[in-house]
Amino acid sequence: MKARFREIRYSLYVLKRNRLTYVSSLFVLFLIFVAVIGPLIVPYPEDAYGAVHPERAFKPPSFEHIFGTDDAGRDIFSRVIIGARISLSIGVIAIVLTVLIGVPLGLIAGYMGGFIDEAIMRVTDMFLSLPPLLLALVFAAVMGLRGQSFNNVLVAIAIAWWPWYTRLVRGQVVSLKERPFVEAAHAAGVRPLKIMFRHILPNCLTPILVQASLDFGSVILTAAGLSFLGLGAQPPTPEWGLMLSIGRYYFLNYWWLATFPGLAIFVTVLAFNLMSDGLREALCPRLRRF
Amino acid sequence: MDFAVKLRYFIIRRILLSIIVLFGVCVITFFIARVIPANPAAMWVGAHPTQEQIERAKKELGLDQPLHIQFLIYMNKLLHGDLGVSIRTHRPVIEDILSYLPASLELVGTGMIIAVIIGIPLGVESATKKDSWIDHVSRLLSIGGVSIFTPWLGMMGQLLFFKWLGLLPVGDRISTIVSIQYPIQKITGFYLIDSILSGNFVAFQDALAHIILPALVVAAYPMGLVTRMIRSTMADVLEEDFIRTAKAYGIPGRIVAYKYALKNSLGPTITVLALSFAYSLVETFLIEMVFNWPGLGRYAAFSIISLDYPAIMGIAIFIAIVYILLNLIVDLLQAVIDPRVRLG
Repeated sequence: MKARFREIRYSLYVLKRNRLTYVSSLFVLFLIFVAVIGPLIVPYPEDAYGAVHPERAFKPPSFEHIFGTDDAGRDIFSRVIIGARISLSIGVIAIVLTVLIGVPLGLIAGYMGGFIDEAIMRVTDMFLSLPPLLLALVFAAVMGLRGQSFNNVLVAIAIAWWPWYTRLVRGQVVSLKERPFVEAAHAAGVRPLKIMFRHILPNCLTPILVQASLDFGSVILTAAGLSFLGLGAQPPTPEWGLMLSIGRYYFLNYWWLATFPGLAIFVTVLAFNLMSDGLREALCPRLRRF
Repeated sequence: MDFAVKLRYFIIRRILLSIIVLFGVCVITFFIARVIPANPAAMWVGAHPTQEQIERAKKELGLDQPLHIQFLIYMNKLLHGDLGVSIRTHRPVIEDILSYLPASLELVGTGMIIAVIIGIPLGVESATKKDSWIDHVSRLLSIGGVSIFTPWLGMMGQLLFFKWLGLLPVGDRISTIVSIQYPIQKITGFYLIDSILSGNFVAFQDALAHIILPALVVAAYPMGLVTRMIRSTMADVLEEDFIRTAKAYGIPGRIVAYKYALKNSLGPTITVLALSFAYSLVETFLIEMVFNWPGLGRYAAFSIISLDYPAIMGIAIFIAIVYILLNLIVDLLQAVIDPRVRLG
């Protein structure tokens, strides 16, 4: 227990040493904070969904509207802030789904070995041989037959990304399988399911966590791309990708329609990528340079 | 002796694996196209179909037959290059794909070349001069490149270079005036190459002006990856003894870096390039839409927006096959270059 504590504190220390990672981690926390309390602090919360004010349309950035107004007169600043909520929750839910599919499959494949391992890995290879963006797009398009919805995006992303986690976890499990503690548990009569989840899984958590945080940025970009093409978030949802796709029609004359949502995407993804990059350096012992 | 046998063994195994994976991809796409939708015939035929059209589609797709027969019909069509007829353009999908392919290849190819030309030297300098200003710049560029939303980058580029500076066109591949007065002779389908080959310099300038902005946007992501990859592998390679020996011999630093260290870093970089090529192919869906580039990406984007399912599935299969083949080529290349791959 004490050893775990010390390890966590050391990892935090390494995290702090790299200025860039530290700053971006703080920024990520700030983003999460803004996303959570968003609706409470924005100047025009009603603009985020239903309200339209055509008389206020296309106003450039000013004191009343920091980011200006869009084609329906809605305050872009409010929409961008509330959009943070949407993007972050898509990221979290999509990754959770992905992990829920990929990790158990990897555990089973790695631990069981033999035919089950081969079967699972072949299927994983097949999914891995497709670019994830493509798979997500096609899946979202096909599922769109049942009506466009938010959930399409989440499931589509999960279907596209799960193989990476399966492969990652399986590799970990295969190397951990031979360790004495697993053998001891097995000898003590612990059932295989319990061994997998209570003994092996906790030791795999670190790479899974690192991979998940690395993927967070890509998931946000994928979701934005899907809404940009009309799959997923529908108007009037203030999702950043959707705001860009609508802004595309007007931005040459009204630059603020497209600049700010895209900036928000960039800043968010950048912060997560920087943080997870540093996280990987901090948590993966082999990369630590002394 | 042993090497040649091992190499051949590796090649055969790798090709067999690709065939299995190709087959698996066909299964997956079949599943997505026929099994998941509630009404596959309606998907095939389009909105507001007549009863006669639906009946014909049902017969063509074999929807009244058991699933495995349907799959065989599907595979048979695939092998004959029949990807169905686009609901939107009313042309066979394969025809559409082949006609739009050169434009996208030119765009993505140019983008990748830019990414490599900028990325490799940047990565090398960054690795050899750690923590210098160029190191920081390259790290910023590389992480920035993979974090940016490409349509937004494209739009900002249009804003800056078209609207505010008036230097570059807003989209398309070539201006209408130039295409009428100085038409490009079709040799390869690549405007940049064809215009030079036929001495048509006016068209070359125009095509160049049109391609530069979208190509830079395409290059952002691969450049980020390449810079990163080169930097991290070079950093490892530079620690090695043989580099130290070369330096001890007095070989100038630059030659050491580029000639000796770089070669060892190229392996994983090529893999990353192949990955990012496929990624870029799909990114062009968004980029070509922003720049109205008449390529496969724009065709795909329009197909997705108008829910043209035959086209969507056709494009998906096409890109999947390209991706698998590309990975195969890259792996085989690695096996030839790096003995560790085929022996390990």
